[in-house]
Amino acid sequence: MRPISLPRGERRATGQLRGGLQVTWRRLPLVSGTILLFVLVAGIFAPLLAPHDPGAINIAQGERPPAWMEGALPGHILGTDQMGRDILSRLIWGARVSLIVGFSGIAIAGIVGSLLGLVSGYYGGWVDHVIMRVVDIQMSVPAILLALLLAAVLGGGLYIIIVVIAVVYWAFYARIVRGETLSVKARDFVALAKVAGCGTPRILLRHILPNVGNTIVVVVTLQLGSAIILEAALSFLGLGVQPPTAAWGLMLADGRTLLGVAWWIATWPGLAIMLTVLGANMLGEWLRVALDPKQRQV
Amino acid sequence: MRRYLILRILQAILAIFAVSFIVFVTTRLSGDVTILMLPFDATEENRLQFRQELGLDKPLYIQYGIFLIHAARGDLGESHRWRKPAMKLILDRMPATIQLASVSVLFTVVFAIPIGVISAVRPGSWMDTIGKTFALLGQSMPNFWVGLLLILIFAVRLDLLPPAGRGGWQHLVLPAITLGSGAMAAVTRLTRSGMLDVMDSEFIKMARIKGIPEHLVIWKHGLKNAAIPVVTVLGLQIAGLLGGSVIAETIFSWPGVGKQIVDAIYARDYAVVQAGVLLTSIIHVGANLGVDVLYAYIDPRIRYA
Repeated sequence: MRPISLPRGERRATGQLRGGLQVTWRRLPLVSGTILLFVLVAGIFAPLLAPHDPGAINIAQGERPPAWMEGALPGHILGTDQMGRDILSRLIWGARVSLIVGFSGIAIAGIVGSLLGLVSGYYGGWVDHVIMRVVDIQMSVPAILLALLLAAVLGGGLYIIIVVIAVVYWAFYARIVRGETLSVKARDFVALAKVAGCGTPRILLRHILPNVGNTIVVVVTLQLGSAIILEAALSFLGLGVQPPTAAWGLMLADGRTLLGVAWWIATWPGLAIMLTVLGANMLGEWLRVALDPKQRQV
Repeated sequence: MRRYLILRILQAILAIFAVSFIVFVTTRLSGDVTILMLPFDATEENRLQFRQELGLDKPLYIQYGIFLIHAARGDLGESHRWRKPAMKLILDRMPATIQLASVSVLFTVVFAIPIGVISAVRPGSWMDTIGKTFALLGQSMPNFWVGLLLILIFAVRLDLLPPAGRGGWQHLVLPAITLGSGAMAAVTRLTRSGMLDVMDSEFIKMARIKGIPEHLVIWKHGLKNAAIPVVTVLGLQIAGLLGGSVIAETIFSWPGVGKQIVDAIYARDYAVVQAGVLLTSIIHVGANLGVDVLYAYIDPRIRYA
């Protein structure tokens, strides 16, 4: 028998709020913000920040460990890879590749997907039907297989990967924006705009889009991380960004066969990917709560 | 229900057709196979003859038509690298992939669900912190890096488990964790949030008032009601695991379908890539269909929507 089980349950309820994921993450945009700022600065100012030329090969100085280990080379804080290239410099330049690919890929996917979602939700009828069937089909192919197939056929490279990411991710936006549009278009201000004589493009872009904007921002942030992972995965498999470009996925592939002798070659780029994605995910989660008034009172 | 079923099945068939078309077109668009397959001093006539042999000289739509007719008979062409039916090459690798996926699902059920439950039952405790960290990290760590780290720690440093290949149970552990890391994180998170909601409800209070032991309240009354979304996600994960094991299999040289597809891509072995992507997509579509139907069966709101 537990006579005091009710109060216990109550106490648990408040404790749950205090320790809940939402609340913790709301307090911590600092952490994710700092991580992302770091990566952004590294990517933008790579030429100024990198201590060495990321492509400078010096076989004689290959596979040297990080500065705090025995046998380290002065000036190469995180060590060198098998070709003697400075790992820190390559990490900094790699941030640029990840950011360019991630942001542009998601931007294209977001713009195309959101516009299709708006049109689909607003017009309904056969337009909606066709767009949503294409979305269904797109989503029924495993993303990594589709990406592999496209990258293999189109031949890899920075721009191709951006296209691949856009192709893989647009459908999410189309589906989510369509759903939101359906509910927004039923509201009075849309009818009023119509009565006031606004054209359809104006209604879509000036009246409906701002009301689904929050959702798009959240999805963009949450997908940025997964797009960066996809790029790294493709590069890792040799189907993405091509050597000798300094990209995180390529660096991981370089270090893969040398795990036994030189753990640092694969460990640093992996850590960089993880932290960046972690930052993006945390920020996305925080934005989701912060932009949603229903969650704010929690 | 019947209307929903028919619609859903039609949709799945359409999706498979679309996939077959995409696969067909993309593989034919890639580079000239004769450069890869023939010695580099082959004459133009040799090349022409080789293309004729493979049927590559016909217009694309005829090639696609032929492809569809043959596919309907289960003939997805011949691998020009191995001189064997492509379908057989993929099907031969299926058991390895299924084995890996099953173990990885098993790990998810055995580890992720209990961690999620304990994390939700004691919010703010150290178990909760571990659970949350686990969920967050698992979501952010790309699985190829998880795989490399596991190799570094357990194969290279500790020399406990083999880093590659297929053999005894020891060979399964690392690739299965790698493959399941994302799913484990997702299931932990879902179980945790589901349990948080359920444990706050009236019937849980009622169960406590009735004097049911706390462990039964949690694991029976609580988990059963939090399980529905978790089961759905598990179903979708199984579909994803069967199709998405490309990276885990490549890292651990696991002789499964994913590895076969990647190798075929490197070798421009069209027929095998087609067969592989098509079969995994069919499994994917089929599993999604299964989950949807099951879900509609459980939740009438979807059936009538």
